[in-house]
Amino acid sequence: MRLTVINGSELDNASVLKCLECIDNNLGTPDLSWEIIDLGRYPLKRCIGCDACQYVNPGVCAIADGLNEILTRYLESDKVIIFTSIRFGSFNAKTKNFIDRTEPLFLPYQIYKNGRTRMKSRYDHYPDLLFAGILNDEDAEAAAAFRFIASNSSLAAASENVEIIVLYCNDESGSYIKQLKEKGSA
Amino acid sequence: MKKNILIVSGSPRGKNGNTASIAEYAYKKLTLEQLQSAILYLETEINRVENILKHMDAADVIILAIPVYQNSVPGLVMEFFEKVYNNKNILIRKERKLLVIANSGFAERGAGSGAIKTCMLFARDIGMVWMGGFTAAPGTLIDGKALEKTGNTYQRLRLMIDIIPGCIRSGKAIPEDALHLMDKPLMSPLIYRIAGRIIQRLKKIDSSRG
Repeated sequence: MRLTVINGSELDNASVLKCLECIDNNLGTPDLSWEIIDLGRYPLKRCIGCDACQYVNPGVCAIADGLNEILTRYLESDKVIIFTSIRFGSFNAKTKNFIDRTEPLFLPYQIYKNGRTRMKSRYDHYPDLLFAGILNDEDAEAAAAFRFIASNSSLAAASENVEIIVLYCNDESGSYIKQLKEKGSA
Repeated sequence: MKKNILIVSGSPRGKNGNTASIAEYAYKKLTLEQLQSAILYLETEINRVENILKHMDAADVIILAIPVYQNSVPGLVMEFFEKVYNNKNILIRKERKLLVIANSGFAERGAGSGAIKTCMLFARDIGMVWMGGFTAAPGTLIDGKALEKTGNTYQRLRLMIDIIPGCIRSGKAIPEDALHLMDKPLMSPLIYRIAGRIIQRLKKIDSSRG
């Protein structure tokens, strides 16, 4: 199984690996190959809404900053875990810039599925998806908003298996106090 | 005391596009009502943090015009939220209100609710009073034109913006029953999706990776 972890959170990769242990992802499985993509190392530019990914070079973002390579690895994965810090109940800016730029993975057609409008998928297969949102303090309102927003993203709509997890991270001790897990499907 | 209104236009397309049309219509209405207003375009101003904070400091009411990206605010607006939040101790302590006008590419009930919720939590965390938020769904048919030239499709949106000056003067939030005016999409979702497909087919959109 190919697992890609996309880290857009404020935690470093080592801390993200500790989170992964918390959410029961067995990185020691013999058949598993995995990698972490640290969005902080880029950083990715924001989407400029040019729609070149639809009308000029379909499926390809016009901004050459490494995003297209991430999207390729996304599609080649069996499972993707996206780590984000939760800010104001949503993805932090670093992660949101990535989420916004997944537009090349979709066609400019709207379809109605499972009670909501979504963009039609460009490809036949998308990986299973887990959103891991990190909060510093317990904040039920922010956690609920994050689950709602993540579950309505295009990536979530395209995936057959979607999970959303909110982790409460105690910065001082470096330990992860509580985990609230909610399964959802597209 | 005279109120200062800051209109923040949060589209990555800057002065082009539907969000700018909404921001500019709001600016015109407020100016006609002799309310002191200014527009700040995040696309050009996002890295000028001091300038952003200066405008925020002076403002009593902030009207945030945003497109909906992936059921929330665009990354550009999240950068703005983070920068303001990181500097919130610099801002003069006074009551500030936040009002949000979102526009979505989907013609759907609740199309902007995730984005509005993000803005509500920003207001909560920064200590601003929530004045209300509503979404034009879809906003795409504005097509970058001046809002007064968008005909019947956007009549409800214009009406909503028209009531803003009165709410600012009276110090009240946008009334609930007015907010409900915007619950229903501005055009039939089915017709919007079908028309969209026809237009794309006419443009012969390539469905391959290219």
